[in-house]
Amino acid sequence: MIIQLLLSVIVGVIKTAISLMPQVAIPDWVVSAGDAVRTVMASAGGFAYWVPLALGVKVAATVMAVLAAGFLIRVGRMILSFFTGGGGS
Amino acid sequence: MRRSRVFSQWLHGTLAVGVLSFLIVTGMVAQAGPAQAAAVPQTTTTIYPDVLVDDPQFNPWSCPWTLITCLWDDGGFMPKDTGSDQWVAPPGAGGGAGGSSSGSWGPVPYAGAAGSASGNDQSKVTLDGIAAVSRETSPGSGIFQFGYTITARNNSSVTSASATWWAFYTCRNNSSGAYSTILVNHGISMGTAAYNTTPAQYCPAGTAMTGVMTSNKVPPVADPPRNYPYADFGGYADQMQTQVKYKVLLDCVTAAGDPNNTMDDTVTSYTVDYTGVKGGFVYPSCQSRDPQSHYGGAKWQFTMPGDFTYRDMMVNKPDRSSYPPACFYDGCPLKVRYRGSDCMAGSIPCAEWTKSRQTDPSSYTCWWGAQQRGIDKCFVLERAYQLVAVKSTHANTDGDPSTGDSGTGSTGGSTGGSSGGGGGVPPTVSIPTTSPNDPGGDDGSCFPSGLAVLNPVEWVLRPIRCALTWAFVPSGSFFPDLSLDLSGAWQDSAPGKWVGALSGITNGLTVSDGECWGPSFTLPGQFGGTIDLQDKLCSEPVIAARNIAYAGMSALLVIGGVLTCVRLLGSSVGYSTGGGS
Repeated sequence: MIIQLLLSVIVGVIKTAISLMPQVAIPDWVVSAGDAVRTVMASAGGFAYWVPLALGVKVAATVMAVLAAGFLIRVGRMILSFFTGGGGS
Repeated sequence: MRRSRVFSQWLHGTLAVGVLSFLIVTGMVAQAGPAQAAAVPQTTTTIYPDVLVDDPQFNPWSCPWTLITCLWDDGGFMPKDTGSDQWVAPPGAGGGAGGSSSGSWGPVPYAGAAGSASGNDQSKVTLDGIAAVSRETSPGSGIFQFGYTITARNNSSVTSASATWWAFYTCRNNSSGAYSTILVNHGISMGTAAYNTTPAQYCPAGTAMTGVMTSNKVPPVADPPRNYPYADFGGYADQMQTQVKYKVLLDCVTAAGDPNNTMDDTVTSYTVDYTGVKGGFVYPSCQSRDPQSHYGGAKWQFTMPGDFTYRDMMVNKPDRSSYPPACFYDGCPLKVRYRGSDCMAGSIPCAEWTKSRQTDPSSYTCWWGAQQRGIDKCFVLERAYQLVAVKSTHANTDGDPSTGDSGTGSTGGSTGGSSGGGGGVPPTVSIPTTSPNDPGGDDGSCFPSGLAVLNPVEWVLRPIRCALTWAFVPSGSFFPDLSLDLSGAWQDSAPGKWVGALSGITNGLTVSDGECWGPSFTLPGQFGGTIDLQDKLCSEPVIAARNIAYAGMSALLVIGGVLTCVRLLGSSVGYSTGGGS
């Protein structure tokens, strides 16, 4: 009961936060972009034996992930900067 | 000071005893009811046969090709509006045909024209219309006729043109239910005048036509294999100048659920003319081996010129999520949808969807391609979305997660057997269930019974265990309900929708291994058609040079990626690796 209560409260907070996000219609081109990407990758696949395309995709994905992580780190640093924790003259 | 510490210790101890007493009392109250239910209830569960095998109304022929029409139970044809493919209903068509649109079907695949060097120049012949209709030759005769009309146009400057129009139709045996596939390979030969013909095809006596399918499309080389028993060599054939052999390893899933009943069939020795017509072959039918079986996938192999060692060409094995419908890739699989979204393996609302559905039935629907089916049709996918792969053709197709391979052995065996019967009366089995509030061990009661009443320890431990269980162990349905609630809120939210849409893009970022001869090129007609680089690119020393270049490019990619990542991370923490003063 106690665990349930705690988790229910946490989930309620998360749901409230999610519900506050504005609804923005997803453009059709975003929805259909997956097909276009598949078409491009299928065409590029013919060169895969000669060019390390799969590795390139993985490297690009890793760089994008690091970029996102760096952004989060920057945001975290910004937030932490509001809390000086003392010091100064 | 000392007095205050003693008081503090007394206070903490009192509070602890008070809380514990409260938990014990409330726990005993909460557990008192269920604990008295000593008898274990029996649940009767119906075992469903494998209802999805070759459903005549939803023949899995659809997907990349255009399903012209389906024969429904009432014997009439229901033409399918194919949108851009533009179905053209025949004038005066009977049999319930309805709906029409006009326009050209576009170039005919595998068209050629005399006077041109190119073997497959689709610009030469345009298909202006295809109309098909099927009906019984006479009411009650049981003999079905498939009639079609082809209208083609030679739009080239040459004096004659030829094309081939292919169609397939299926006939279902009225008594055994077995299907047969019949290929219509219609050659078109025309002059400058328009071509128009209306031949007819028949299903054998005692069989009923269940569907007709055709296409005006030439599947691209990289197109996934189609979901019909036909192997189109496509661009691969163009790359072969000499005799090669093709082999199809066909997986037939038997009605008993055996997904590995492999039919190894060497189809033919196949000769491809460099400038000739592409070819293909019709798969051997799974139903010819076992009328109750269905198509579970196939692997194509071919031999290289001069080297008759079979190599994998394509593997058309449906993945677990689309099993057992005979669909390749995402063509027309049977899927469970949770609140409108396809279930994915491992997703929280779907992993135990048959169980979750009991408390939230409206959120789960069953789909066969674009058609919604009764939820019972999806019971065969009972375990298809569990994170740990479990083939849905296992014995557990009863829609009850509590009946697994282990623990209820009689269940598994009876299911497989019933499927083999192919639609008999569903058997029933009795499955013992346990009390969901059993706090563990013993009989789950909060107070001792029998000889245990003489043990004073039992009078302490059991109430405490009950109380702690009540306080800290969530109920069995709590986490599934909570995850359903949270995942539903996420999927309905703007970020959830965006993540879903963007995941479609990222899912497309897959690259095949490729082949040494690279992609297929087709030059304009005056340059002589397809270029075949296989002999030049797939031999030494080109391969050795390729290996060196490939390793170099891979190293550059890795080094560049690592440096970029280091720089990005460094800049995010205020460390700059760049120059500057």
